[in-house]
This record gives sequence, C-alpha cells and structure tokens, in this order.
Amino acid sequence: MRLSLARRISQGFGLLLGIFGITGIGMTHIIFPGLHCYACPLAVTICPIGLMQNLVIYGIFPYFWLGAIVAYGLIAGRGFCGWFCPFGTLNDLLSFRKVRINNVASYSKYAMLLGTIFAAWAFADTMFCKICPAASIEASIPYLFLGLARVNRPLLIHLASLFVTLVGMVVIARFWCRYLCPMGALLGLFNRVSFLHLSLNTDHCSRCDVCASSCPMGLEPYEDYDNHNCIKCGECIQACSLDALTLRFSPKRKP
Amino acid sequence: MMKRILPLTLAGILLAALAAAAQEPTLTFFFDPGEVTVTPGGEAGFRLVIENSSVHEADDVTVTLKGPEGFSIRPAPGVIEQLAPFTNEGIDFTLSASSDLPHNRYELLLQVVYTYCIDVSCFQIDDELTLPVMVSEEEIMVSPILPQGKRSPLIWLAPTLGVLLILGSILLWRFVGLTLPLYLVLVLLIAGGLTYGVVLKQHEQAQGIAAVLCTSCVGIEEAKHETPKLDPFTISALARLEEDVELIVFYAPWCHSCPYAEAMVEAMAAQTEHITYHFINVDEQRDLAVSYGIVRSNRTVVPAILRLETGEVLFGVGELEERLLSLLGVEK
Repeated sequence: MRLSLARRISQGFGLLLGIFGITGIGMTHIIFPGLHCYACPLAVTICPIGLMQNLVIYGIFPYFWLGAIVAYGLIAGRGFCGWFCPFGTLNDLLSFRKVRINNVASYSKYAMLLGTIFAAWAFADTMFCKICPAASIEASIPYLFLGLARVNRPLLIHLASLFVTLVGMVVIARFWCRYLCPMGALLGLFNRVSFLHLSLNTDHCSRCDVCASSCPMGLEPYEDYDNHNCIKCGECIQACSLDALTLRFSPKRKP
Repeated sequence: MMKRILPLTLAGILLAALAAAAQEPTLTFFFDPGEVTVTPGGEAGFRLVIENSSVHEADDVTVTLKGPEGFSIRPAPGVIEQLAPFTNEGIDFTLSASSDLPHNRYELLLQVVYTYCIDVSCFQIDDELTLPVMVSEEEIMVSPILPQGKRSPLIWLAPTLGVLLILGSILLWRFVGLTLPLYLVLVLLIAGGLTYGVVLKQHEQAQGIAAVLCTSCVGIEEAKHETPKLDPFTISALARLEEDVELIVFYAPWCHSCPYAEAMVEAMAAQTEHITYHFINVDEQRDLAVSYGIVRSNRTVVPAILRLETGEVLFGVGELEERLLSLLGVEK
C-alpha cells in the first residue's frame, strides 16, 4: 500500500475517533494523541492540552497525563501530527506552499506550551482554550448552531484566531504545526527517540534536495532526518527516487 | 550539538514548570500541642497555626468542629478573615469535654473552609483536620507538634531520584550513545505514570473534566465575575410572581461563571418568598445532573438553572436576568 494512502486512512481513523460521539458514546478516559477539543459535541476523548491546563489550575501532579504523553511520544513522537491529529489533517489539506522552516522560530511552539502552562497557573483559567483554533472549529461554531453559544466577544476571538491560523496555513504549509501547536511541542520532545522514525541511507542519498522541497514542514531530511519538527508523514520517502529514506518502527540503536 | 541539546533543555524546563505548577496545598496546618489531654467535664486549650505557603491570599478561613459527640470548641467557629501570602496565624481554641465521656483516645475532627482568589477567580477549599484527644483524669505528657498538611521531606526523594535518572539516561544517550537506559526510563515513566495515575483515580478526574462543559471555560461565553444587581423592573416583576417555583442551580467548583448564576438566583429569591432553590455540584452528583437533563451532546453543561416544575433549563450566564424572568413566567 502506498504510504500516502496508508496515511490518509490513519488520518481518517483520527477524525473518526474525534467524532465518535455521534454513536452516543460519552466521554472516555482516553487522552487524545493530538489537538482535539474535548468540548466538541462529538468528542469521546480528552484534549491533552485542555487537561494539562486544568491539572495546573488544580495543582495536581499529572501522573496519568504524563504517562499517556510519554507513551505517545515514545510510540510515534510527532508522527501523530502527521498520521492522526485532525487539526494536523486540516493543516495538510491547506499545505500549498512548502516553504523552508525557520528553525529558530519553530521553537515558538515551546514558548506557546510554557505560556499555556503559565497562563493557566496565573489566571486559574484555561486561557489557551479561549484562543485555540481547534476549539473554534470543534466547539464554538458547532455550539453556535446548536443554540448554546451566541455571537459574543469570545466567539469573535475564536473566529479571529481561526482566521489567522487558516491564513497562516495557506501561506506556510503546516503553519500551526510548525510554529504554534503546544501538543506538537510536547510530542517533539520525543521525536529523536520515538519508535516511529525516519531512517536515511547515506550511500543512496545524492543530496538532490527533492525530499526537502516535498516536506510540508519545510525540513531538509538529508541533513537532519530526525529533526524535532519532523511529522514522519513520509512525503520525502515518496519523493525520493533513490530510496534513501525509509520509515521504520523500532527502537533506535544510537542517537 | 546545540540543535540536539536545545530540545532536551526545553524538556527539562517543561518538567520543572510542570513540577512548579503542581503546587503544594495552599494552606498547611499545625496543632500546638500535637495531642490534647482533657478531663471528663473539663477544658483544655490548643492552638491551630495556619500557614499560607502560596502566593495568593486566603480569605475567610473558618474552622468548625465536626465531631465526635461530647466535645465542643470555643470560639465556634474560629475565623481568620485574611491570611496574607507566606504568613501564618494562630487561633486559640478551648476544648470542652462532656462529663459523661468515657476515658479513651479520640480523634477530634475539624473542618476548615477557606477561599483563595487568583485575580478575579475565587475557589473555595474544604479541608479536614484531625487532632488526637486523650480523655483522662491523669496528666499525660504532650507529644510534640504534629504538622498536618506538611509532608515528609522524603516525599521529594522519589521525584529527585526520578529526575536524576531521566537526566542520567539522557546524558548516556547523547554523549555515550547508550539508548537502552533511556528507553527503560521512558517505559518506567509510562508504566509508573499510568498506574499511579489510575491508583489516584486521575483517569476518572480527567474524564470528569472533559465530560463537563463549562460555558466560559472554552470561550462559548464570557465569564462574569461581578455581583449581580437586579434591575428595578425585575424587582417589581418578581413581586408579581404568584406561584411557587423551585430552582436548581447546577455548578462545578472550577467553573468561573457559576458563582454569578448562583448569586443571581439568590438575589431573585431574596425578592420573593415564592422561589426556593438548591445548588448541586455536578462533579459530585453527575448522575443527578444527567437525570435532570442538564446535558447537551453528551456534555453536562454548567452553569445550568433548572425549573423543577416545568423541567425547563437555562444554560450559561448571558442575559441571565431576562432569561430567568422568562423561566419564572413573569414579564418585566
């Protein structure tokens, strides 16, 4: 099976898990391995960032959350961004301009993560949720149609945040995933050790740069194939005619 | 090298931030003496020292006796109106034991309720303390002060060892090229985190957080923190209310708009004897909330106000005054 088809099917599963509430199943105990608003009328899984903020507000050490995040990180790292996350899928659909990533700027998502934690602690509120573009799509807009929300300032803030993010995604492929996603930041911490990883055969590589121009995250796989920004989507593997890159699922033997 | 070390440094900062965010309890309590001896029908004094170890002020710290039977304390309740950050204050209590109490060792149960506010958001905390009491005719040597709410310094041993283990395994991975220790540590973190989290019922807590939709928390509407002031037309409309109405306010302790909804119902009920009301915490009585239909799309929504007679429900706090009047069936 072609890698891209396998990825679309996997993204479909991610989306399906996101809207599984349509079957009538209520909220489960599962922490979602991506950005997916738990306030969504059809959500059956828990948003890791929303939960993290609540645990910070309560002052609870997040054992369960930490276990789940480390598990997701170890299994696939940012592979979940490329293969599973519904908001990542939306980023994918708008990936028209695969410009090179600004490596320094890509650390801004860690600032977003730390800012989210700090804001939750300082204001005792889930501040990130109020600007989260995933929540705009999955909660604000649906609840407006369901009659629970009204046109008010919070809704306009959500819509503005969504608009800016969508424009960003159109101008820069995977804009949200590259620079702003706090969940991507968390999973990125494990990217270099995760079981799902890219592998480069330097004997086959001609450094032609084809892989780099196909990468939605704007990376150069032949330079740094396990970069913390790599979402392991496999676009580079398909672009490479020399079979220099492969996607593996195994523990890494060396750094 | 920097490119590889930076994510690891960030991981360290993140872990430290999470640890810092997982704050200790806001208030800690000490009894002086740690055990009280009192004769049947007699009195004994003890002091409760309350220490505020957080950066936020604690307000209306109220201490009441919950049990057991046969004991009473003065003052009842003991109150500290304001406890500034990083300060401590004591309340001197006099404990009385009734004359028919058999000689025995008892555990005095004290309830401490207080609020602390972060910016405009206030939380009510409910704590329980126990003080050993010996009812005896003989004088007994008192034991040293027992800190309550303070944990043994050993509690830091496990996290410290854990952090050292993580750092050590990362260093072995980066500089020696050994991956096995890092994988072992990560697997240990997963197994330990999930298992201990489940033991602490954090999975249920997580499910509870996600299953309750607080309208102001995800930005469906703006949180209201002010005290509601009724319009004069609302007051006159409420005076025209003739039928008895029973309202139930469903709230969650962490919901920012719920106190406003509760205060609005209280304010309206104060204007007429026809309104009775109850508050239900959905965190504690989720099933009850579900049975009353406080659910939209599988989410228990708070704040919600139910009129028991008609089963009508109001969600949120937007234009609440007008909507409540409409729920009550009176016009301005």
